[in-house]
Amino acid sequence: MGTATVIISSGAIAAQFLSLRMLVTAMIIIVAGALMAKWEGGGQQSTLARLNSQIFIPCLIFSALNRTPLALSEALTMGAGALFFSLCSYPLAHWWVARDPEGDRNGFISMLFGSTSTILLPLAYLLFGSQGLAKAAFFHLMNLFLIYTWGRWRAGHPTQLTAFLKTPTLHAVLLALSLKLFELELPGQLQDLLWLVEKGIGMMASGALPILLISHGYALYCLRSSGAAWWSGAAFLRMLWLPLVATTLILVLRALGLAPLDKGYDLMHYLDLRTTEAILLLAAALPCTISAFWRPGDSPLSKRDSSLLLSSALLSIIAFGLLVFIINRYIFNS
Amino acid sequence: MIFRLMLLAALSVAFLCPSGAIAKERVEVAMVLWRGETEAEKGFREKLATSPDYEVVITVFDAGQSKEKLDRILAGLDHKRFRLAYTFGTMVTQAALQQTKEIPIIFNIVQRPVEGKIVASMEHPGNRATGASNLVPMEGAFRTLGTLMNIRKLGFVYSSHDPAPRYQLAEIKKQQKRFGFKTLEFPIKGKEGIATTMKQVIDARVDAVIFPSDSFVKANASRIIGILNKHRIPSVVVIPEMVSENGALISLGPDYRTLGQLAADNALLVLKGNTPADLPVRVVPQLAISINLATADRLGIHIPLQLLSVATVVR
Amino acid sequence: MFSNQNFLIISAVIPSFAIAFAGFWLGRLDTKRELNQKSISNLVYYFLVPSLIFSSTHKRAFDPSEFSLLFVSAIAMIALMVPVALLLKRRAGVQRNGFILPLIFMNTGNISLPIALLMFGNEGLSKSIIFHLANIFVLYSAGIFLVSGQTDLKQFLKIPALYAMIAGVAAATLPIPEVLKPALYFAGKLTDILGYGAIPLLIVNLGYSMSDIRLETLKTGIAGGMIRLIGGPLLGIGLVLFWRMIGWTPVDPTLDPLIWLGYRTSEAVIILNASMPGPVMAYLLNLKYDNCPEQAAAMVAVGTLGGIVTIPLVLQLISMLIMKAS
Repeated sequence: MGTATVIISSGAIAAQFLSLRMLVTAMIIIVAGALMAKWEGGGQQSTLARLNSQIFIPCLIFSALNRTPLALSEALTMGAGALFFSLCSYPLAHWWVARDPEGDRNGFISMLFGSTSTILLPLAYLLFGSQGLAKAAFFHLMNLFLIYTWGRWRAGHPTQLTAFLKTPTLHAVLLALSLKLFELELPGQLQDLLWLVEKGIGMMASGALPILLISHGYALYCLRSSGAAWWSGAAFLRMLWLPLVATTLILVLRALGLAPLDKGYDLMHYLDLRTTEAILLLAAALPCTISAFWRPGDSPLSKRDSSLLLSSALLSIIAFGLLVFIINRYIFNS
Repeated sequence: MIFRLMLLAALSVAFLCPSGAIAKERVEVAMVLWRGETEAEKGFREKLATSPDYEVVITVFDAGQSKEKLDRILAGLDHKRFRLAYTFGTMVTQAALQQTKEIPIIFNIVQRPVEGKIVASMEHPGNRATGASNLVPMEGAFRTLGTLMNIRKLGFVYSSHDPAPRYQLAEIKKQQKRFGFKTLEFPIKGKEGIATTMKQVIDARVDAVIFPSDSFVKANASRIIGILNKHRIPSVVVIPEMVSENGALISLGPDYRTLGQLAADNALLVLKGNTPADLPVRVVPQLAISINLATADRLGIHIPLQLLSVATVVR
Repeated sequence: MFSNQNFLIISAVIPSFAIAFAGFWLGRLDTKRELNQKSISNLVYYFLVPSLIFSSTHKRAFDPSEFSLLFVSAIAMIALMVPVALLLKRRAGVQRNGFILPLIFMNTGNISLPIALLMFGNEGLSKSIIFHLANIFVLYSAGIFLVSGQTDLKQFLKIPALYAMIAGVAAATLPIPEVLKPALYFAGKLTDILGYGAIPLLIVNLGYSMSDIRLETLKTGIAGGMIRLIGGPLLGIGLVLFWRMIGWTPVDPTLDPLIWLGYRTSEAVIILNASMPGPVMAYLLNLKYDNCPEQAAAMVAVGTLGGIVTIPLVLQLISMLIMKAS
């Protein structure tokens, strides 16, 4: 083992440092994406978006759900959480859109929904492992559904439920759940073959992590180069509001007995509940959704909305730092 | 007046004769070890030191991993001198039961006392041995591991000379269906067989290797785990020292210090006159998790924050 | 159904080709060719592969003997294929040198890396990366000279993988001052995450680029593709036997089993990489300098498709001749 000094300490203390390191790492990868966009002159956002939506995100989600047992109640909690966040964001979104001088209603989508694909999924995995990612997957799925339906309707565009039903992400979730539900027990090498397929998907899932973060950075550069401003007051308000919403939801879940604080003898169950709370808090720090797919045709985002997205992305750095500290200090060590 | 005098006398006694000065009974305990003192022995000593009734003097007999030396120690154990014997591990306990006659035995770090024919049952040992078992609840262990990595092929590396690991192997195999993995066995035949066995492990492309509570493996852990770390194969152990001293990735087992304290509880009960036959073997219900962060970094494994929050980490 | 050994081979090969097929399918669906391959190549070339290289090298003790074995083997393989390629070029009546690029260079990234990982573990991956490094260094120096007629050392010095390798080896071998250790630790973690993206994206890109190849154009690449697939492993085996003969990869049965395994893994990696089809990058260079691009595309395509059959056979050969004790 060598002569290095061995330091033994509480994992809770190490968690603070490691989570900070992970956030900084994620930030650097996002910056790398922005640099890449700068060198290329931007314009290839759709390439990355396509790769993510068609291949990497479905593989990431399938891989997490396949590995992690997830109770129906947990899935419903995360789905309900996504809905709750959007509903609570509605007043702010309404205020934002009402003040648009051009009457552009696309701001609804920006304000109501967070960047679950490019930020929540990779961070959930990096911070909370496949357990966190499995929960974030349901949050993301609900988010996606709401964007395709309610979000588009509020923004004045036709809903795209059919398009949602065709998304590979949904298919990946359904496939993973089916495999878990039917618990296929195949003989000998057939079981090994199934595990082999899983391994291949796992390789793709690992690849998703940097690519999602890079595509977020790429999109941020495109926003900036389109003339977006660094600051938006609405983004600041959103950054303050959503964590309060998340905290309220967590307290409600605890009060209803859905997330008891008693450790008991089943430590893993206790950690599972705390991870749910952690994902909800993490989702509260998300910047406005940066996905390009919901914008109809090639109509560009207004400068006002672009500024909102850019500003919320920058403010989310502060929000993530604070909320991850709170998660370590008050959720996992409550 | 009489009442005041009595009160004064009582107060005088309380002040002039502090509790520590009340005569404790001096007892001697033989501590028979296989590989030197561990955290378990520290816990044992700590708890005995808090006893208000006994001043326990412990004499350590370390077999230094030598069977011959162990036999000599047990043969020479003075039953009149020692009120009880503390033994570490299955092999030492079994030898002590065979080679001593009357002395009560308090064992510690014995995973399978029933299967090892040390006790009749965990609730009623039925003979002169009782103590604490480092039984690892495998279901909890695999649920914990599931948050860390995806295991489909698990290697089980153990010493072929030690009969105890096969019980743990049986427990692991019971979890196969539920957690969706298969177990490949890799027995090591002595020190010379380490390289050959590790080559087989590497060739098998296992996702992780688990080690039982095995003295041979512990004694050679630095070499074995060093090979696994070099080939980036995660190692899962039940002995926490293998994480801090030998670079294993994660240990999932009961805390040794707590086990030592539990064994001491039983020891104190025996000293008070209880028969070991009626004292249940104690277990720690929750796993203690210990993680080596340097190894995790080397293997490219991200430790989830929720797991870190309940673990002890080694850097 | 299959023997354990055969199953291990299948399990090493299938994921790569399945992912490549996913890329192929993506290409077929992307009728408007919206996916910009240049973007993907830039991402892989500037960020992901250098990260993979640094991540792999900085954690591993640097063994100069192993490094030189693999590096020299890669260069030797390229050199040994040159006369064969020139012979085919003459017989085909082709004047331009770009023709030989997909013959002499190997696809040591897209297909070889994941197979090396799945077949030979992390050690296999690390060794394969060294081989890949040598391959791309020669490709971006001598290769560019062959297709463009220009030597440009500046281009060579701009290869990000070169600096990643130097940094990784330096981190693994030089004593690091305490004040720099946190930065190294951090860089390690960053490159670990970025490196994850390299292999999947390489394979997806390969599949995507195969998706718009027309079957009728493959005819021109059959001879070249087959020579690459058959000649490569034969030369690779010959090279390994030569190394054994001169004692560079001893087969002494009394060797420590793990040291023995290390040598055999190096040999396996040499033969595996030697059996790879021509690299997509060779075709892209041919395209860039307009030097036999159609023949290059055909040879790469035939080689990649043919590899589905030949690579498992080569792995079987490796298992029987190399990995089992002699």
